[in-house]
Amino acid sequence: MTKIKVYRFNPEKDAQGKLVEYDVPEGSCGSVLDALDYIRENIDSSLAYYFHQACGKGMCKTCILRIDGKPRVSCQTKLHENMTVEPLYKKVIVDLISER
Amino acid sequence: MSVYETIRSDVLVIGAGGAGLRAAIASAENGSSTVLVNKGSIPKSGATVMADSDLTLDGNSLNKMGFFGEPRDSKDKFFHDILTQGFYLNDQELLRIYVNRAPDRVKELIDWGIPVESSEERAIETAGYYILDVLYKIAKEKGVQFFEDVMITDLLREGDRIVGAVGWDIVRGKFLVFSSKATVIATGGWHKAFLHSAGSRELSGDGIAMALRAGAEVSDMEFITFCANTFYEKSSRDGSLFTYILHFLLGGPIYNINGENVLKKYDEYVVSKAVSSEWNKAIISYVSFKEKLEGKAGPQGGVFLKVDTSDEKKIIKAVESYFPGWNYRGGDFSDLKAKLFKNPGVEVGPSAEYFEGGINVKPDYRASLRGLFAAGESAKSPFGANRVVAATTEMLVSGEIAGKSASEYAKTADLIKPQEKTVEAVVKKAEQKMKPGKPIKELYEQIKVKSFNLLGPIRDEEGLKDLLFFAERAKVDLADYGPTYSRLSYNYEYVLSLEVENMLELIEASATAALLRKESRGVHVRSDYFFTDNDSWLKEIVLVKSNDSYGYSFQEVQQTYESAFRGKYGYFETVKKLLKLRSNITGGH
Repeated sequence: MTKIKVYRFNPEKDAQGKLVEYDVPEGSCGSVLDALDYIRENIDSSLAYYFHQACGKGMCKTCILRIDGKPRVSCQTKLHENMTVEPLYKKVIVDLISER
Repeated sequence: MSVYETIRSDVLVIGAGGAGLRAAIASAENGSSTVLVNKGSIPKSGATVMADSDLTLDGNSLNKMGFFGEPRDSKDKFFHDILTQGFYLNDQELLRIYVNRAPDRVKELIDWGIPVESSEERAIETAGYYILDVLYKIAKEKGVQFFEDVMITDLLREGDRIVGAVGWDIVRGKFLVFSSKATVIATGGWHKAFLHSAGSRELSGDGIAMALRAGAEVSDMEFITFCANTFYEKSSRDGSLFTYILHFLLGGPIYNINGENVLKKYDEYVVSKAVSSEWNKAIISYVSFKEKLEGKAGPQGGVFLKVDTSDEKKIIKAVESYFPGWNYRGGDFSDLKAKLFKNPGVEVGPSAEYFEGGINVKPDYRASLRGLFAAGESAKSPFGANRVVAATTEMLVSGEIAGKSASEYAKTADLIKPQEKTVEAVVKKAEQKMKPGKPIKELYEQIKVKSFNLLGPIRDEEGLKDLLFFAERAKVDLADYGPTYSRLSYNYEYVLSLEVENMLELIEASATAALLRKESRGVHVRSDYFFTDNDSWLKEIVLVKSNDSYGYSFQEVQQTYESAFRGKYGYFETVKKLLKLRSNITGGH
């Protein structure tokens, strides 16, 4: 398993956001986007990140997130141990979605 | 009565892929106040953003623009070739328009600044995202007002007229009302309903489904193009065209799990023509899917691309000159370099790529309801039963016409304010899907598999009936499914519930038409009717919904400019006849 820290914030409940650690299986998750998909599909279905439209293939760039402090296209960023995934911009709407 | 923010405009355009953006530009240019609403972000949406776009037009016009293009080509030859590719089911008026207007649409894109990567006999090569950037820039200049991340749930209808739509703001979690004199649907296809899809994640055919629910006609719904040789892997890379292009570049055998060269089983002439042009989508998808039906597929249901190791250096050089670093438009595929030369190879197969059918339109791209227009993939295409030339050119041609027609209509029409009760009924219906229930993704997973297996590149009566039964039951069961959490802002499961309703609607429409068409034509292949019958089936199937059931009619194809050969021939024999009818112009289209 690979550990990944993901920023969570529910505007309807939380005063402020926090990083939550998840275990995702190695192999089935090649990219950070795959890992987020895995968490949503298997651990917490409410995880919000901008993906209702993403292409998953590096073309549309709508899945850009702050990964280990730097803006990166999440579907093209290889997953490795102890990565931190945060919203791209400061004004967070929910979880990894921020005001553009 | 809740109060919703209401956005008024002359023209409302739904969908911000190439067709929607081009429609919005035409509408605004014609003097109409224009609102463009899109489920995703602008301009990163739709099938367009992922298109490896070869904008097609007749080679002579291309040559005159100063590009490499075949000067011996003509509009008539281009028309004729598209007709043969479409198995003569094309709406010849729409096709005339496509052929005649393609040069203007391509030229303006070049003038607006799209980079041209290369050109061939009948096409210039560019990327879909370049087209979107340019169209967005122009649309902004023309004063189009944009709404991002808003999913339209249903159209608003007063009498026989469409007067706007209700939208759900996905990020902020609230309803919006759009009130318009004319509405253009440009929401694209419904790739999302298939296990393997070459489109981006939002393409659930919302516009076609809501038009059906509002009572509009749809046509040619049985025709679905599957791109062949797309990458198969359990990840978000599934469905990528990287391997499709790879095979186009390299050619060579395609293997099943037993190591047999599957292309060897078919007519040599058909295979050689298919592999060297974009006929490959229809033919190789059929061939690969047949292996799957015969139990000779790989673990993901696909076939394999593998290259003889003695050619390794040469091949790598060829690939790297086209895909530097094995990167395809931002996607990393360098891990395939090792797999390509080893057994069993790289697993590939058909993915849903293009929907020939859609909202039934006249040559001015108006639909069968007043105030409603459609463009791009959500409208009926000019391509008949099989598309070989570019859909990106089509989205521009139809988008421009639909936007202008909608604007002209808006000039003569009053703004009818949607009644409160009409809005309330639509919102209430959408709100029902917010009710927590069994995880909606479980139903969605079933849908994807069922539709790919039964409405894929090969169909039969038993499978289609099974699918219709499944879809009817799923529509009822849908009431028990829903989001598993109640948060309003970015509740993807709520969005998925709305999308699932739309996908089920379209599966039903498509399977109904596919069941009615008792022959094989273009990308509609029936293993139980494995022939093309030009004596009885040169007609389109038009569906319309009333009281929750489908009515259908057959519309004879008007062969105004060119007539098809008569008779009934085996499917591959027909393909061969059509390939032989091609003009003297070479190239991929």
